[in-house]
Amino acid sequence: MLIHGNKLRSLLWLRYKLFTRSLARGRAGSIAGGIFLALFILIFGGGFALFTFSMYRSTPAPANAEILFLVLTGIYLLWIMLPLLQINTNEGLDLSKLTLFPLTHGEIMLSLIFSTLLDTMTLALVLLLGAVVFGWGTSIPLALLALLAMIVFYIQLVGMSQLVLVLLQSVLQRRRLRDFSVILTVLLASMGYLCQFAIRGFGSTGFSDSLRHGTFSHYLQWLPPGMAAQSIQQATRGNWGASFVWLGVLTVISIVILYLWQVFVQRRLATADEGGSMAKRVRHHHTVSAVAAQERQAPFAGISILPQQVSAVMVKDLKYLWRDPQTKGLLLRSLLPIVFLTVYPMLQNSKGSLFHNPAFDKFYASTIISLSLFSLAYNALANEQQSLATLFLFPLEPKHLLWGKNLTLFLLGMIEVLVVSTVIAAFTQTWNLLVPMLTLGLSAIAIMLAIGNITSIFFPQRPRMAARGLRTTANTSPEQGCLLAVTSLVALVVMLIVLLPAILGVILPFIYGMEAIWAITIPASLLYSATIYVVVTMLVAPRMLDRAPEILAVVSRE
Amino acid sequence: MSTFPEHDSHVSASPVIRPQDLTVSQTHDQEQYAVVTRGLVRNFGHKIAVDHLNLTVRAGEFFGFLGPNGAGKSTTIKMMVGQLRPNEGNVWVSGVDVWRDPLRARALMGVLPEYLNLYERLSGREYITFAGHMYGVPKADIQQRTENLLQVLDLADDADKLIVDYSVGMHKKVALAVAIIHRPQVLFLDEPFEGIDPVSSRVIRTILHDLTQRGTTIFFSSHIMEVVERLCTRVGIINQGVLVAEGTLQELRERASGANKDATLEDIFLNIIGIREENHNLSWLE
Repeated sequence: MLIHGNKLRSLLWLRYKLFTRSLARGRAGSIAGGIFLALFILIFGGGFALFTFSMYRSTPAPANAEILFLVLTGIYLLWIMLPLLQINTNEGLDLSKLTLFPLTHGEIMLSLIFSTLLDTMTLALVLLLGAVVFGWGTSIPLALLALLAMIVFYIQLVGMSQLVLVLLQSVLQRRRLRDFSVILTVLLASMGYLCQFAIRGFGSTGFSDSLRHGTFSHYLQWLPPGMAAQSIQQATRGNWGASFVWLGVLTVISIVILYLWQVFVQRRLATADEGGSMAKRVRHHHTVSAVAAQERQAPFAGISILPQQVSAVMVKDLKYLWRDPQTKGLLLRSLLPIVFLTVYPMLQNSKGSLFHNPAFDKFYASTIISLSLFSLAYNALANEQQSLATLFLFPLEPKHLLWGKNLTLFLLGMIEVLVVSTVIAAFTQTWNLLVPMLTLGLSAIAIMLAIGNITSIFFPQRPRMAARGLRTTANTSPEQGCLLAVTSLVALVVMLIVLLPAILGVILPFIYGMEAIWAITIPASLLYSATIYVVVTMLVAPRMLDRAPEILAVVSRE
Repeated sequence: MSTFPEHDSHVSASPVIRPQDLTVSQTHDQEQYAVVTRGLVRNFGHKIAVDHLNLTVRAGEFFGFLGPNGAGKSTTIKMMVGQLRPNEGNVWVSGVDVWRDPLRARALMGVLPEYLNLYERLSGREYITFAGHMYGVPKADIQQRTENLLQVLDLADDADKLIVDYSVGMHKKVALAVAIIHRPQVLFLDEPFEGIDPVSSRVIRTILHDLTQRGTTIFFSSHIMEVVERLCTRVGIINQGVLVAEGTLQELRERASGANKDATLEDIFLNIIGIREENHNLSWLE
């Protein structure tokens, strides 16, 4: 296998440049975001590495070996899944850009493996594998063998994850599956909550019994990560021959995987363009008759009481909420807090410690709903992504655009408020609180939309797009992460301050047992929030026309 | 509504027909002119992308806007359609100042941008209909025009598929349908034939020709000289942000090639922007 050092150096230089520029891109915000991400991974990965290291050393045998089997298998599965979920998109792995050059298979494979070392995510992986080496390397020969096993394991890990990605590429290129994976990614990003179930599972007695009896290794040893673990285990017991046999098998499998990877990648690249640009279509040479055309329902017939443009924008946004995976993911993610913060605790405490006494518990659910939609409202224009350029070509009154977009979210929010408030009222038998809860929810939505209109026009942020496939565009970057977080946090605080009079108007009469005052305070709260919305929207809408080029520049900036 | 200002002295070229040659009364006859720019400037940092551009396109013309890569064509078009704010200067479309009265100007124009940013999660039919509503086309007309456009552009069979599943040519055709559904007075096309097959290209050419026959002004930027030569009634050439020539093909030919009546637009273009072949010899290839 011919490998030219100068070509390999050039490929590594390319990867280095792509990595550093994906972090910097010349803006302070993204550099700060990059450092923040690296620190997060360092702390998180480092913490987990330290934890596993201490488990290898302190847990009595064979439980420590079982942990090694589980950790390596977990890493293996995770690394196979991440590229499928669009995480770890690595431009260095983009073979479509390299096949133009006269590179040998060896050069390509080596460059691909080395290029993964410059991923931010790899940092966590290296820490975990380092913990294995240090955890089991109680002597120099053992440490060397563990290091060798981890290097082979790492190479196979990279090769296997890319092989799976390539093999599933044709399936993943189907739009529906692609869309599904985007939604899944967005949801998984906010599913830290699920970790508690995993932690509970690890803490159970059944799990610790399995560790003590070596149940897991019995099965896992036949998987590649198990082979790496078994190699280390055999060496630890002094069975060096068996250790090298396991390591040899692992190496052979790694070579086969690498070979298959580059074969399938090249085959895939050769056929990628055939189906990509123009799917074969069977032409039905029929003409759509005028009658049939008239009978076909106009997709933007809209709601007749609204201005034509408002209803068209609204219907378009509703369709997008359903069809666009990015938007749908955002919407679903916005629903998770509602489930976690309201429905789940309610079911956990059906006898009702949560919803019994404090007034806050009674009303916070309906306010939370409005916050859940904030991610869609505060960057409403930029969330149009590149299509915003098209939208700004239309002679569309800015207030009509805002109304159309706001009405969509208002509709969603209203449904959510209605459902959650009714469920809470039914579970806690507090039907007398239904109207106040609805009032608070609707007021919060109106003010959220008002604040969202300000931030959308004056502080637009380029939304991050998910991307995946053989042709990647950029490395995972923390672009705008910090700025985005700060802007949304400030907007959220402002929103809560502006909402305060409406909250007090609903909650104070309840706290002081003067529910009769609600006859005045509830309409007043609704009127207050509606006025805030109308005044703010009418004030900021005309500025949209002035700021259109600047908003577009933010959204379309590369 | 603002009126066209007097020409300034920054025009470095000496085109055959120059805006500044027009008299004041002519320039104020706004209906005669579809697109007018005066002193249009756009900088990106220290780079001057468009440098005091004065351009006049008469109503009903098929105007070709040529220039090498990076000459400022797309920047100019973005400023003309209100998507990029000029550092200086004004743009009028059918007499309406694009930057002072953007909504009115947008209603008069249709735009086919170089990079299509379509709503890909709508079907072709839905998107064209949506555009009809956005332009305020009467509801009764939207459906009829949509079906008509889908038929003519050969999109009827795929009208209910999402745009994300369309080919490049189909994307262009949908974008063209959206740009013309409201019968614009002026149509801006930035590289409309880039990346599309000859069949789609023919369909689009035919539609554009029909549009000019019905009085629509077309402002057209392209690298494909044969298409420009075949379609355009007048041509402007921009280089390094400066309009270096403007006129009919014949006028440009006379200016650039003297008596050579057989000079193609490519010859004229290369002559005007001063490209000489001997500068591009790679002696080490021999």
